[in-house]
Amino acid sequence: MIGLPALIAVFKRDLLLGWRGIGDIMAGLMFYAIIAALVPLAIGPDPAVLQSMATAIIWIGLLIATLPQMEKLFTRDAMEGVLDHLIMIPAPLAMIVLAKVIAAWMLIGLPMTLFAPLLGLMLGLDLSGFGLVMLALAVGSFGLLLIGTLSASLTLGARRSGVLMAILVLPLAMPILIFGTAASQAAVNGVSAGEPLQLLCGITLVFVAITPFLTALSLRYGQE
Amino acid sequence: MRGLREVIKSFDLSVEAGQAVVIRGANGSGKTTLLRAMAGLMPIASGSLSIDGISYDDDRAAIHQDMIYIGHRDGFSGYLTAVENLKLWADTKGYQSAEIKKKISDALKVLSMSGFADTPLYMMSEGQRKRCGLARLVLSQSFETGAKIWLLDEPLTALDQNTAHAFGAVINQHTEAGGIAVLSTHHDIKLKRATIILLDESKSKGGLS
Repeated sequence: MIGLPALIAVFKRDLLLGWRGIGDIMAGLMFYAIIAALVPLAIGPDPAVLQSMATAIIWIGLLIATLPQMEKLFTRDAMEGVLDHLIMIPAPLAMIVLAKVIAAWMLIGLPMTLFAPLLGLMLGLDLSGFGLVMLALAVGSFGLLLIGTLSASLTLGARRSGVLMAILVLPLAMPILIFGTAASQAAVNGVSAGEPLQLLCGITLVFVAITPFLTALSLRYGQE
Repeated sequence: MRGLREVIKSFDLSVEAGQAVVIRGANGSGKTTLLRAMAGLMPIASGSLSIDGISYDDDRAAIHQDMIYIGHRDGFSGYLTAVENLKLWADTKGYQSAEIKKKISDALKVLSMSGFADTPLYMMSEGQRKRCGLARLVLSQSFETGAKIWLLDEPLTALDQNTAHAFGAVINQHTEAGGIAVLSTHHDIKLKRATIILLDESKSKGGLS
């Protein structure tokens, strides 16, 4: 494939930068944990109530905790002039975007997925069916990052981009939330989670097919 | 075009292999816009731009493969070292070699940055960052497939006199080997085979061949 070493270089660069800024990742995980820790304070410590709401809290927490991380996906690159060089890499820009999304998922989505069992325990869940919940979170967070990348490219350079990001990302993330929580709830209840999980994978694949191209367009023509 | 404003009204330029073009003009006369348009980073309202008869609409990747653009900002990441930045940039250009490490350290040496090879860029001064950015050009020269077209926006800003002199020699070497360099600057730079273009704000017109 043309430009594969270039795509690997973009991926490696983002991972290396993420590793240098490991504090940001830790802060994101702390944020995720705090959201889950606040809920019992608001609705009371009744285990039955908490258990029934646990998967919903885990998913809403994921949505909220990834937002501030996704907002920064392109800002530093734009500030340092790296974006110009990314656009000028002799490989399809959509593929470069996809390489960046995969790197971002490894830095944001994957750690949050691995962190989720802790939240489950905090909310009193029995972790026996939690493997499937984590699978759903892994897929869902990838879809979320695809949407987030597109939104970050659209809000690049805008003032108050944080609020704008939330307004753009959260409505688009609705199908991920619906099928993600449905699959997770089924898994926790010990019922077959196949159908919602398939729909979650399907919707994520739709985002894989569309958003890198839209992001590439937005980056290319947002440069004026 | 910048937003909905036409910055440069009419412009006609053809550059031959082995030529350096120095763009001069007051602040806001459109030097950056012109260079970014040439780099394909900004749309052209009317007219066309072609390199060896190929336009951006034909084959964007082929043009960019043979082109290096360095803008006001160095385009390197502050949290990576000079060597890491240059290595990853070389990978994106497809410059691969078993001696890449030596080539990078040689390139840094030309711009007297040898002592800062493993320093993260955020710890460097503006001039030092600039030098790292320009080391791309020297690195590209060390490859047979190195880029022929250099587009440089204010490359001399923040450079000290000795480095500016060394940089002039790099450009001369490039044009001597048949490369093209288009640069904007307010500084005096002595280049061989150089044409000077003046972008005039009132007329926004420059023509030359």
